[in-house]
Amino acid sequence: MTPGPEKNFGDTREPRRELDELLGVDPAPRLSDEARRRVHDLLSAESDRVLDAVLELDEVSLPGGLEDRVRAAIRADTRRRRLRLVRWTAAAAAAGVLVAAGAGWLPLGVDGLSAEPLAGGQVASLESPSEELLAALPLLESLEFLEQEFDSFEREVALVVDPRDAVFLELLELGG
Amino acid sequence: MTLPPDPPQRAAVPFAVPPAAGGAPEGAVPDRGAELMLAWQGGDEQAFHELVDVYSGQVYALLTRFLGRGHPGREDLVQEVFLRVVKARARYTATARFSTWLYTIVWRICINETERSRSRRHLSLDAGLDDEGGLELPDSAELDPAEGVARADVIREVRAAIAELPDSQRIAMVLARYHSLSFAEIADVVGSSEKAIKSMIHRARESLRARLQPLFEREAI
Repeated sequence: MTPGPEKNFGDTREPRRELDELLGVDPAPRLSDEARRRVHDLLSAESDRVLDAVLELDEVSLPGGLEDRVRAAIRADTRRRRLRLVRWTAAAAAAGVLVAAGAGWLPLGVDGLSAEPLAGGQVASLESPSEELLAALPLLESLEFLEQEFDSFEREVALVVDPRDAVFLELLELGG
Repeated sequence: MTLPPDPPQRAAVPFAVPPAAGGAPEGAVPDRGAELMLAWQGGDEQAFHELVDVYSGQVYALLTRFLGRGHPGREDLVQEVFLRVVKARARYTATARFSTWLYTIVWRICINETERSRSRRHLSLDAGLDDEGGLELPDSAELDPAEGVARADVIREVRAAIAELPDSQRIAMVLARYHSLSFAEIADVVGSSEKAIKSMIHRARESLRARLQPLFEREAI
């Protein structure tokens, strides 16, 4: 069988129909470069459209109340971190108070009779509020924070329980 | 409730500078996320609530499409994403679209989670157990019987085909197709070049086309 005369499909306005016709008459069509490019583009565009249509079918169902649970988790995390900070601050402040009190008693000596001056020639006095008060300030601030942010039960738990105790922290979160 | 893909955005136009930074250039796309983030930085706590409202669904959808519906704890991961946003509150700067910045956080979490799943799978295999977590689960959750068997089959095949893509191709394809990110934005998210992303998406689409071709022919969509 001799092949038919080569047709130029480069100027066709309906390349799909022309392609169908062409494939119908010639199993091995020889197209011009331009026609080949246009047919290829057309088939690619069609293939992309089909793929996008299929991908469009994949929707994601959102669990109800997702936003509320995210906010709750963030609130709980914030409270947990602030509580930890409060406890560390409180512990440091308490230690500061003890040190300051010890420093106040030191000049009186072990037997409470022989007072020795401190380095620098100054004698610490229990009447002087500065060191103890300064040391206690973070504690007072922490207590103020507890007063504002927590109810009475939470305050009690916060001051008694080690924050590393996961069970009681869970209780706090549930209470929040 | 189902989440449709993000609305398409004109990625070619410049990123909108929020009003606080001097007003948006003409023709720029307003970035609600960046506006909310900056408002929150300025002390507006309500702005953060709105951020969660607007973006938690998008984050969940991205995690779901990347990790698969069989992955446990996707909701916990959404919380983890927003906890990281909280921690980054002070250092956030609006140099890119907010969603791009947010998806960078999601991508890091996805990488960690994928590695964790793989090591769990290795341990299970070492112990002779059959692991059912992670990407290997058949992705049949959430299919509505009312959709019809044929459609459900198509959706299942699509999900399986996406799950089989390599990680980098999968995240790039999902961000481009379902979250309307440009090549440049995806490159920012995954820390790659725009050219590499274009190539990844091309390869991903070719793989999906080859994998789903029998469906096209059967369903004549």
